[in-house]
Amino acid sequence: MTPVFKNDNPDGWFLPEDVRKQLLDTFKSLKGEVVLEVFTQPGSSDEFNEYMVQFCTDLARLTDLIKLQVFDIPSARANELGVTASPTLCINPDDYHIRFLGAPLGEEGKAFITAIMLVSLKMSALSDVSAPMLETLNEERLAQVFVSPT
Amino acid sequence: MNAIKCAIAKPGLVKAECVEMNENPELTEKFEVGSVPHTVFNNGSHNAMGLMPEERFVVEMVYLKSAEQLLEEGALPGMDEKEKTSQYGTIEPGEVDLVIVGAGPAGLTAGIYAVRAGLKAVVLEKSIVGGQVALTPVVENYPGFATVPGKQLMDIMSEHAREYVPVHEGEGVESIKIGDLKIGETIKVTTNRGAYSAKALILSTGASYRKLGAAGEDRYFGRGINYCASCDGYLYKDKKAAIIGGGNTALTDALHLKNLGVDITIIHRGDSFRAQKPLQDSVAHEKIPIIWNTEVEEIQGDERRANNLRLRNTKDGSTTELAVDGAFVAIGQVASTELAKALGVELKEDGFVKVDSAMRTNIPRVYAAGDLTGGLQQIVTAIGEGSIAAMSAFEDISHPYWKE
Repeated sequence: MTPVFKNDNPDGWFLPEDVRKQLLDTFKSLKGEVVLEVFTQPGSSDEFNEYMVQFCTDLARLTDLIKLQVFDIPSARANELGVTASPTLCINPDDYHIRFLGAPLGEEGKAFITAIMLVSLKMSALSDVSAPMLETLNEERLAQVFVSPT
Repeated sequence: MNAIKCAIAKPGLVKAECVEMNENPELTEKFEVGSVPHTVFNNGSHNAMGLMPEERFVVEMVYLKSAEQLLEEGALPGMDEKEKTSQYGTIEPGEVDLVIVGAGPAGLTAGIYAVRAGLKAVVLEKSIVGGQVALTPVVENYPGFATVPGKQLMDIMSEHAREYVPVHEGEGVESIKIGDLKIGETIKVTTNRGAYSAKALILSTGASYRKLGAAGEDRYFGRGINYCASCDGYLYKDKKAAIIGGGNTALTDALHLKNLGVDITIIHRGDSFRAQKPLQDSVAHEKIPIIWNTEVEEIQGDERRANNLRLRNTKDGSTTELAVDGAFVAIGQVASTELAKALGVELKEDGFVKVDSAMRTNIPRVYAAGDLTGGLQQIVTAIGEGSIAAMSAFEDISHPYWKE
């Protein structure tokens, strides 16, 4: 796996400084608390588990409004939420079902940050056309979007 | 992101999961995911391939059918009396000075220049920003960047462009109608979200992958046949694949795939590569096997996935077979001239759009830039042409030469 971030930061940061600066700026707009629950199964996908945990640890460290909880798979919480894949990241799982199965590398990193912002602001950012259409939905939908790290 | 937005809007009902394919192979196999992005709704009730605009995503999720199917059934919400049946939703993006079609380096640069010159502009992109550069694993000949992943370079470029001009991804242009200049009519550009009325138009639609034209190619597209090594290479890690072609793209992609851990073989119909020397040297150094003088006649499979290539030697006509898990086609570009042709824009003999040194086409107020115009077809020429096209549009809007 090509190393995305070199681990040569002072103070044990995982993300490089310029990224942290940018995130600090973005996170200024955070309002509501965001809870990141990360689930990992040691021995399975360790590289990605570590990446996920370190990435989320940094985010939680950058702002008080982001909190991180790490759980094992299996565990009571994992069973409660039905999490089986390692690593899995859930954003505010008590309120929403928004999950990343696998570390959000590359493009998905951006989607992850955007998701944090929208959840914090309790906004969907859907357009005036989409929102009413979605309103008509009255059954469950599970959308699994398959992506690759490029 | 579309899925996430819906999950936030309807928390009790909508669940959104972003599944990284490389890390979740069983799930990927279960739904036979071959190319990304690929969205599976309700465990397989409906599948949507590729990127799509937000509105379309919502429609397909709510109805669990493709937009095309809904269109046929006449059930697409918002389609009633309007003339363009493929249009749904009633957004009027409105009046602009300049519409730029295509958000590759040419289009993005044109956007920056246009807005800095004072024009109200918008860049419309049917897929995602970056054009072909975004699919290139490594770029080493863009001055200022000794070596940079294509996607990263285009992220930097599009961030810059977005400081000036709105860039709409997932909004493809469906039709363009050029009004009568003499009575001051505008150019009407219709997309899948609505219509724009513009004084000028820049076409920077680039080029698209040339297909082999071999039997089975379409059948197994996305299920073994790929055109983008950077996008789908990961799927073939520790598996066997072939890459067809002999130019820069084919060799760059071969090296990229080898680096990813793919058991890669190059198939080329000639007996020597067209690619630049450093690439040829790298391929030799990496000891990537090459099958020379060979064309792919047919792509065979078991109905679900491709698994075999029938090859023909161009010199003696003999046929052989190569069992593979997949193949990448990298045999060149075809200019994306559909919109240009529909407008009546003049093309050169080689099929690319004809422009003068100011990037004007034969149609007043219509310009072209980038790979679409042929020539050297590099990032650096695309950005040059993009800027020239934007400035020509600006000049012409201020001083319409055709009125003199």
